[in-house]
Amino acid sequence: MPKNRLIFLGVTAAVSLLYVYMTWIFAPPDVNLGELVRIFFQHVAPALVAYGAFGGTLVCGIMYLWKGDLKYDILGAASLKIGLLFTTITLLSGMMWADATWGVYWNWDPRETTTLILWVAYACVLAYRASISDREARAQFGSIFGIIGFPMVILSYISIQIWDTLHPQVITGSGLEMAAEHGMTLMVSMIAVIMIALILIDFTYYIDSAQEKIHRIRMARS
Amino acid sequence: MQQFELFIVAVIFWGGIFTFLLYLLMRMMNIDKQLKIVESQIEGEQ
Repeated sequence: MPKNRLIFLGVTAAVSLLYVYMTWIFAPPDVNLGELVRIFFQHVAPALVAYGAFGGTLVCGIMYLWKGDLKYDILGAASLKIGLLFTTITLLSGMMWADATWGVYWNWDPRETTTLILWVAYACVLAYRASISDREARAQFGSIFGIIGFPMVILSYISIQIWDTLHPQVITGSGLEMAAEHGMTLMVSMIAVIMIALILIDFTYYIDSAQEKIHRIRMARS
Repeated sequence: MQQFELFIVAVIFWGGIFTFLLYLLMRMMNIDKQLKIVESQIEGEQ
């Protein structure tokens, strides 16, 4: 493994430990939510990072259609997979939050519903990609659907502003509406989850690139 | 009751990340092996 990658892994491990410490020990219980505020730090960061990952898929899709280089398609697909992983974590942790605060796991709240649609849309793109054997066609359609799916990310993000919802709105135009310790913990959680996501995207990209290389060698030999 | 929900969320979060990371590491080891085999086959042919 290259030295730079090992250093990044070490720094990510250290930041993740700090994140665990701040989530479970440093952050005080909330006045209204009590200990449940700790769910918040494991829900918001994955949600925002998933949006960012789908943004990466959008950018890579545009770059592939523009340049025609397969590396953008591989990177976009890697970003999509990590986006789906973090959306799954967001949905499940959100359900636990909903059960604890609203009394039900799922009540078709606009944020819940749009995030579920977002998950299904990108899962369909991933399934569709896997179903096409022609490499160029997979890259072209994958890029197009990766671009078409992005408005769903925006809709999921703004859903709590345009529809009546029970979902808390913590990040507003005037900043973060929470205690200073909670704000600091949220910042550290964002940094840690971004670093974890970058590692996962890097590994996925490495694997998919190697797979592509093997496929090309085998095709050339047969 | 709150402790149970906090535990489940921690399992979802870290369990999801570490399971995926383990899957990637296993695939990485596998793909490196495959790549070495294919490359050695090419060298053998040359």
